[in-house]
Amino acid sequence: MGASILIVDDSVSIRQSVRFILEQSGYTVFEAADGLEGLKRLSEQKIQLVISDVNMPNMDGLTMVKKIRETEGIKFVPILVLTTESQGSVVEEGKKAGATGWIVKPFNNEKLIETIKKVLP
Amino acid sequence: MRFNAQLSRPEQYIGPGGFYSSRDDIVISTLLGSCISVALYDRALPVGGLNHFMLPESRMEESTLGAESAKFGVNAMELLINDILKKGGEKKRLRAKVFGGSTVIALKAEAIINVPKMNIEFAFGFLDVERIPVDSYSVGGALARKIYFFPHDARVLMRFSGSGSGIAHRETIYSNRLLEQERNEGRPILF
Repeated sequence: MGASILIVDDSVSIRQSVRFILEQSGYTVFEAADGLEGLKRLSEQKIQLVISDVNMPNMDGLTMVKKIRETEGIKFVPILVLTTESQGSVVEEGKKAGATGWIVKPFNNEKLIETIKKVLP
Repeated sequence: MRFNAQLSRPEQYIGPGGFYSSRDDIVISTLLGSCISVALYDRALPVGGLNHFMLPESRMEESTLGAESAKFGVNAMELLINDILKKGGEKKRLRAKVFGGSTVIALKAEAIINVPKMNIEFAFGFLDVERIPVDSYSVGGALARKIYFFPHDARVLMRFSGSGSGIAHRETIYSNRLLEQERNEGRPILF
């Protein structure tokens, strides 16, 4: 079994397409539809990497990143933000929130896997 | 934005790869060949938008959402959805109209993949998975389509156009640009 990765995205299609790529590379994939569900998943499951969208209902991705960084037990999990947002100011916000990396969609599959390998503990 | 005197409204034209949404009483227009345009709207506000996209040809093996090329379609849809949500729309209230996917160029004999068909299947597959109901559609055939979408009342005016060759050329350029863009720009940033 490969490392456990949590995908947080409100779009079912995005979750499906990222899951497909990650599973092909041997990772175990968990899903959450927003930041709140993401936090819940992290408290229940041993997750080694989080891949999250920014714009989501209930709790957005960057708020979730901040919460993760404040929570004992999960604060050091690497978080890659996977988003359509490419504006410098939003990327900067992500960095401040504590994200590990930023990937703008549409992403390149090989680069995504390479990046995952780099940031996995 | 130019003023369309015939439709008595400002008109925003979008080309391949483009999208636009608005809460104003305007018209958003595009010219489609094998590409797809999805009009998405939340009538409660009202707010609506239109995109113009395709799945690039050279990667196309299957039309499932997990397939390599489908992510370009997913991305085009997500850009429009996010734009509408930022303007106050609610995902649960979104409804759609789907256009395009015509065969504006004769399919090459050796072509294994039917590009327009893939684009159509992707659009309906995506909307189904995301639980966005489709109110109406006009897809397939051999003629180009000129689309006028009114985000204020979700109305669409459509007319067929015979001049397909120019569009086919533009769409091929767009398809190549997508693949090029992915190779060059999808560079992850590590903080």
